[in-house]
Order: sequence, then C-alpha cells, then structure tokens
Amino acid sequence: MISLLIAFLTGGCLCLIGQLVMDKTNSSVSSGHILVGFISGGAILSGAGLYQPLVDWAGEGASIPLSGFGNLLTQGALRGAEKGITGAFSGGVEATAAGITAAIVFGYVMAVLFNPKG
Amino acid sequence: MDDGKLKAPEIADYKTQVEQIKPQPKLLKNCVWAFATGGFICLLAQIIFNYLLASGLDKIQAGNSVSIIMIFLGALLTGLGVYDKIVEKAGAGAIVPITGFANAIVASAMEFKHEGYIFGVGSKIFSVVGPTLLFGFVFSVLIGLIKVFINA
Repeated sequence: MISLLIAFLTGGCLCLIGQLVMDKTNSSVSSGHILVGFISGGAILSGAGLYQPLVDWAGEGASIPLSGFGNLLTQGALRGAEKGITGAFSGGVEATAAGITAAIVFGYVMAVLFNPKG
Repeated sequence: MDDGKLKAPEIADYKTQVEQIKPQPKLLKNCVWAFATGGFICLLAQIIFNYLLASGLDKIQAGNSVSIIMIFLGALLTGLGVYDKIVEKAGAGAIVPITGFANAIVASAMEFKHEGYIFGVGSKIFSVVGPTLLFGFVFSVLIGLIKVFINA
C-alpha cells in the first residue's frame, strides 16, 4: 500500500517540476521541449548516480515520468560499458527496447486507426 | 454627471485586466492539476506493476510490461480524443509521464495522414520520437563511454 502512496507523491512532484518550468518560462517551451528536457535530465542525473536510488525507492513514480526512461538508457549504457566500448553503445537501447518499440508500433497503429478530433 | 455610468464598466474593465495580469491563482491551479494527474498516472502504473510482480514476473519484465501497457493506453486515449482534453487541464501532469510521450507521437502523426501512410504518418511519428530519443541516446552513450575510459 505504501508503494502506491510513494509512487503517487514522487510522480506528482516530477510533473509539478515540469509544470513550473512551463509556467515560469516564456511560452516558447512546448510539450516537446519538456519531453526532451526530462529524458536528458534523467539520463544525466542517472550518470551522476542520483536517479537510480530514486527509482529504487519510488518505483513507477520515478520510472513512468520520461526522466525514468532517460535513467533506463544510462543504466543500460553503464552496464554495457563494463564489457567495453561496444557495450556502451548497445546497452542503452537494449534496456529500453521494449518501450521504444511499443511507442513506435502503437503510435503508428493508433495514428492510422483514428482521425484527429476537433 | 456621467461619473456613475462610467465607473461601473471601468471597474469591471480594471478587474478583468487585473485578472489577466495576476498569475498566482492560475499557477497554483495548474500546479495542483499537474501534481494530481501526474501522481494518478504513476499510481495506476504502480498498481499494474505490483500486480505483475505478484503474478510471478521479475522486476525487469514487470517494468517493461508496465511501460508497454502505459504507452498503449496513452496512444489509445489520444486516438479516441480523450488524452488531449486531459493535457489541456493537467498540463505537464499529463505530458511528463510516458503516456504523454505516446500522446505526442500519435497526435503529431494523425495530423499528417493526408500526406500518406509511409512518408506522412511514418515520418511524423519521428518528429517527437526523434529529438527525444536523440538526446537520450547522446547523453547515455557519452556517460557510458566516460565509464569505459574511467575503467580502462
């Protein structure tokens, strides 16, 4: 039960940071910039060893925001790096392959099936 | 003699101007919505994750499955026209979670059907996936390479 509460609070806080960035900066910050910012921020914090502890504690609350995706990429690259340079290149995609493929495949299927509303 | 007549619209005008300029209540409202919606999406993901763990998947399998399910839901709700209404209300609360990533992909791709299914929809999918993954890849590979050279 406690894991649900922690996931709610952590996910909420990460989204709150995103909202503050959007509201406190000029309107040129689009949703695309937020996505890029979060995946980059997650990847960098992960490299500094700061994000994985948050994932261990908050579970999906830290994994589902896009910063968790960046963390997964970096953690994969770091694991791969143990085996050398090739691993540093392949590790990130290996760790995130399911999410990337799902996003592209489901994205395409839904875009073909449905038409824009309004 | 027109004082009484002019004042009322002037006051009303002034009040709407103040309302437009003063950002505080809107910011607070946006933040509450973002926090609650983002939190709820992560809560939903955690419920699915706990269920999958209990049904015997290991942590990595369960994590991947949750990502796939959430991406599917985000893409489906976007196709149905529901997710964009959530984004309007919740802002970053609906953009930052991975469902928002799926939403951005489907929303931008759907608009380009008239340019065809291969180079219309097929390339517009990557107008969002492209920059997002690009920066993720660049930073993660750089960090991986730094580790290789530290280890060497």
